[in-house]
Amino acid sequence: MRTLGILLAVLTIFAGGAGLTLALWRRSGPILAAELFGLAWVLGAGLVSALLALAGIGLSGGVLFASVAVVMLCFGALGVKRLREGVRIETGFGNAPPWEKWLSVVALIPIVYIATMTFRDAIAWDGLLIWEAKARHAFLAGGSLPAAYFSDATRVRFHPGYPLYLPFTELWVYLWVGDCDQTAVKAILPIFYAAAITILWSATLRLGGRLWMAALTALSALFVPYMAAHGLGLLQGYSDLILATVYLAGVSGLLAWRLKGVAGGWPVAVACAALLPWIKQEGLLLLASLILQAALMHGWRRWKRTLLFALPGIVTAVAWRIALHSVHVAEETTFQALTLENLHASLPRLGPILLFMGIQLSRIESWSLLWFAVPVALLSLAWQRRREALWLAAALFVPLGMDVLPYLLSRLDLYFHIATSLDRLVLQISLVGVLCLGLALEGSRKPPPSGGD
Amino acid sequence: MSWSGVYRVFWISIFGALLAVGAPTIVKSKSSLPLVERGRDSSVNSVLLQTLGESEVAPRLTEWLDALPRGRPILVLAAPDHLSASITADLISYLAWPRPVVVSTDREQSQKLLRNFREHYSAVGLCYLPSPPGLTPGKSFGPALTFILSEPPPE
Repeated sequence: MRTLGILLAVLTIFAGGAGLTLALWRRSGPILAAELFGLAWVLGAGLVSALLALAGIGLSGGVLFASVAVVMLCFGALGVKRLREGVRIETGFGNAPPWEKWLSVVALIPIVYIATMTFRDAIAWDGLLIWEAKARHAFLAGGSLPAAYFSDATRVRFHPGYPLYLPFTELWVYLWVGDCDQTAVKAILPIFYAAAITILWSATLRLGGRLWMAALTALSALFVPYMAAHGLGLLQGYSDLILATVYLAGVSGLLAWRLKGVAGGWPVAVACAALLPWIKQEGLLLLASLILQAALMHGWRRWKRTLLFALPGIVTAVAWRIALHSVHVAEETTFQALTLENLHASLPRLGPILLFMGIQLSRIESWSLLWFAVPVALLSLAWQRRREALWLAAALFVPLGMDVLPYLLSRLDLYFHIATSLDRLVLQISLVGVLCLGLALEGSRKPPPSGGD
Repeated sequence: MSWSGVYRVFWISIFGALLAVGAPTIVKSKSSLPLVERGRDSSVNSVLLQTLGESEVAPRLTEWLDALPRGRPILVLAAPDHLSASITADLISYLAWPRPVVVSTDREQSQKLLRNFREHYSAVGLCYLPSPPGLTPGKSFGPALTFILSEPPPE
């Protein structure tokens, strides 16, 4: 029964997500099967969590569950309709030589490895107390979190104001299984990892053009220890790699649209941008970075389109803040208020912050050689006068630069705060870092086609 | 070899180095918190096994917390600067939801709260703290977690 429940929860997420992805994929060429898999999962999880949160305001129990299931299936039907209308799905193998096709198998190694590790570790610490707790408590309350949950001052350590993307995806599994079964929820965590790898593989293939490069890039993600086996990651129920995946999908969607004329990349990037603040607070920083990249790609003349790009993400962030305000959310005050006076007073901390950040980024046991290789990759791309060099640099350094701000305003011991949190912030941009390596591997290319519209 | 060939070899070497440097960490990685069972409370039980040394605590603890008189919060006092104690306290709060659970890890504040806890709380849990003299321990979940009831259980 538990297995069937998990299976149906997963299938409805894929159905709704695939429908949404195919609906967004308009006026474009074929979508890659791996790309559809990854996007269907991350967008499907966004869709189901948002539906549960919205419908949960007025519905509960079986009615809530049935209503959301019906909407997810309707999105699935929309996907089937889009396929009948002629949206094509392709493997991406095309006319590649057989050795490249066979080499593509190595891209599956990270997915298989993480799948085998799924039940090794328990959901732990923040994964349990911040994320899964929301799913469990919503399940016990009939499918939604009561207003009292957010204003409970005795549980402020559980961060009631954190967004509900991962918790309500887990809640969806609980609703299907009929119990808050923590083993059942573990089963969906490696699917997020598989989505990360398939999006990375597809992005490298779309932007780089060669199967062997995409396979090598996807494989290399496994060998960055903090992404795979650091003990405070996806399999322990943390949401940072999910944020990294959606950010990668947004960045690569924009690049595919601008560099390869893939019209469907733009709306997919908009959807990913809208999801970022729904996954974690730091999603706001990544949203700002994605909007900046969109502004750079659109240029001044198309500012309206940049505004259109930004709007759904801003609406998500503002709506969530209004919702939290309306339920009088209890929040911990780890940071000083963002005022010019406080910023000025904190400026002497900037030097130590940058030094500590440098030390954390250079830790081989966490990042292998990733952050040594990424600057070389960006320089290679810039030297080849490839346009993505500037956009990828912005995608990496803008969020990293903005990460300095919380440390400037932190009330905690500076070294303790950086040592215990920076790696997770860096993880959120690390998949884009791996993509840079994959694109640098390609070398100089012929003049690209003009950008899509 | 052409320039593009040299360039490719350079980048493949970088990928090779990335893999070679990262592989030992991945291969040697061990679980910091092994999942010890399957089922409803599998992860909570795994954490509590590590912090209390007791297995399958979560269902027993939930049942006991559910049976406490409603209307008043639960007080949990954890040993200061003791990671296992503070995690156990947080998990009691997690399992007792939606009942309010006040957690204190500060020695002075804990002593202050303990002085007249009977007036405000339905029970006090002591994580890695000895039972204060004069108070009879009510229920224990291993040697590191003891609860004292505000009112004696009905006969």
